[in-house]
Amino acid sequence: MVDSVGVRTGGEAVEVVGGVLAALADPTRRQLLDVLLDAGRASATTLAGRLPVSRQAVVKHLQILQAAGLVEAVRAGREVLYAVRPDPLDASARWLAELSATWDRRLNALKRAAEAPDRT
Amino acid sequence: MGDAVQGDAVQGDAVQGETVQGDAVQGADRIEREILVDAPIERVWRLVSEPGWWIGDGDRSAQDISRDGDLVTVDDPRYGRYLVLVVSADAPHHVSYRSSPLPGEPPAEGTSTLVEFVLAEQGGGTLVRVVESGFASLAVPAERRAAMVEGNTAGWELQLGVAKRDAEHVRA
Repeated sequence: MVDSVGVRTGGEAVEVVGGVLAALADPTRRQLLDVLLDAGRASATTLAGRLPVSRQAVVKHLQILQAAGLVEAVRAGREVLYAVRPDPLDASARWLAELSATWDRRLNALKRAAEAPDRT
Repeated sequence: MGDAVQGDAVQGDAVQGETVQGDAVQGADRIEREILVDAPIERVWRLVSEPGWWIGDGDRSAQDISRDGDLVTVDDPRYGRYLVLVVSADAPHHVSYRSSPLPGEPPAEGTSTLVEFVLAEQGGGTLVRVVESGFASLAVPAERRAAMVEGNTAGWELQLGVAKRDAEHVRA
């Protein structure tokens, strides 16, 4: 049963998943996330050194990833270090998996209905 | 292939998450599933060309369905009201709809996904493929999202609890 709280929470979940997928739609951002996963924590300057884009572009992509909750920024002295937050990624994958399973159930129901003998 | 989907229903990869996890990392904006149905294509077509046939738990007898041109409203006493827009139909092979994953939402740009069904005759039966796409377009503007992400972990746990409960409800 979907109560009002469930619907609201579901709505936020849909939007968060949308945000994660929108952030990941860009191949440079996926590459950036890969490099950052490898590095653990890194500054925009370090990241730019390992990617074929400018530091300015890296900062812009980091901001988008941060807004989607995929990256966090921590101040370390004079530097800002970035790190991957895996939770939204995991949660999005689980949400998509749940939806896949839901479609499997629906398709199975369709199969049963289509294969059932005609009622006369 | 499709026959293996009988009974326990799920083809493993979806629930195990490896494929879907990979898809999420790849930024894949779609879900694709298929099933082989042992019935003629015309018969399957009659079922999938009913807008919103997937809404609810399979029992549509208590649903109130009204139609205004290409826009169909399905009122389910348990799951709420869903609006489904018929985008295109090419009998008996292809039909597509737009619908929001949330009840009450109009199937507009930014609030809906595209749900396509492709039917093909195969070995005396019908292969049915569903493709749901456009999840990334459900994104909200970055500022609002940034604010939402603050309370993220608790929100996700709640949502997954709801999803699990819904899933079990449907299965029951």
